[in-house]
Amino acid sequence: MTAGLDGDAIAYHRLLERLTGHLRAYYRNRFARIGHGAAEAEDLLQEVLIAVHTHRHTYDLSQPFMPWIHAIARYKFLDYLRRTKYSFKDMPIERAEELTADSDMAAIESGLDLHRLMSQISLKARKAIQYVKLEGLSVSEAATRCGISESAVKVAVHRGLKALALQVRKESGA
Amino acid sequence: MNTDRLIDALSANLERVSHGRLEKTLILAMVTGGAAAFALMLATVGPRPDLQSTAHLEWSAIKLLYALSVIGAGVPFLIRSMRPGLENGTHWPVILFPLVATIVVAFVMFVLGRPQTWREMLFGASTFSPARCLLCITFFSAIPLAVLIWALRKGAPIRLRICGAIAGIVAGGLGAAAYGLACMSDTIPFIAIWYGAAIAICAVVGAQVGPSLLRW
Repeated sequence: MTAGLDGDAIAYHRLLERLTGHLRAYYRNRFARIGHGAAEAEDLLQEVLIAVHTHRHTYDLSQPFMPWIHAIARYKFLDYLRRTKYSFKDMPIERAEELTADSDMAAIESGLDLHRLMSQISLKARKAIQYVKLEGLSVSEAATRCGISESAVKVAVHRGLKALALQVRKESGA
Repeated sequence: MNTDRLIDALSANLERVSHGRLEKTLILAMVTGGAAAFALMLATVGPRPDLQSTAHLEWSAIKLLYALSVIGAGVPFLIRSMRPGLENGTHWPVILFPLVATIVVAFVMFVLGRPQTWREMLFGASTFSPARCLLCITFFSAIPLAVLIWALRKGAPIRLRICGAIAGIVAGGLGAAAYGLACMSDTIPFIAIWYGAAIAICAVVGAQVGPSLLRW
């Protein structure tokens, strides 16, 4: 950020990319809790990136960086809630269905993306990730299901996630 | 628009950001607002005619000191509130200290004073003094408040209502500083009650307009 404030575009680009990942997780989580879809989360994420950009002069270099980001992210989230409270009220009931259909679509799309990515890694890693990360089983439960030791499950999950990250990077680079 | 494209667009043509611009903007706003309040005072009620005498000058100095301490207590928090992540450090005891301390002193003076002087202590030089004081201070504070809100919008206030209230207090302090040179009522209880009330009105106005005007 310090380099970004001094005008280093490459460092700034990298910073925004890393923030995007972080904020996306933050907003997906928040939006899932209030029953809004991932598409709205992405819209708000973009809004926050713009806000971070246009208000970057409000970051005090002597202060830690993440609290600054979180304050902005939280503010924008509350602002979004305030805004949508009214727009939801104003929306006719016929359109409400349209909106939920939209957010379902986004969820399915990301599910499909995940499925496609998962098919590109080894079977053992896929199973391990499926059990531990997606279905939320404990490592020992996953180990009995796969018929391998607990440490083997951990290694498989680790390698699988690494392979997935590589795939995502390759695709976004392409 | 794709988020990755947005990031590309934002980091293209990146300009260097100058540090400390926010503080300068706020100080500039206070100087401008204070000058406007002072000019408004000169244009309307004018300074008190007996300012040449030392005793009256001393009272004007006391009023000015009161107003400056209100401003001085509020400004650090106003600067903090422009920067996200620092807005939780608002200490109301510090901000309100000058106002409350004056009320305590006023109360002691009131109790110790002779009953014959109570009337003048509370209502000042004439029956119109309290109304004139309230009206003038809130009126003189309007421009400072507007300029302060303009300055705060350059920052990124998070808690809009609180930020607006502090801006109101500081603007009220600027208005009180201007009116202090015109005010004929020379008692501490008068300052504590009516100046305090006028500043409180400004704070309420600031808190009311904050959420809509400071939104970003």
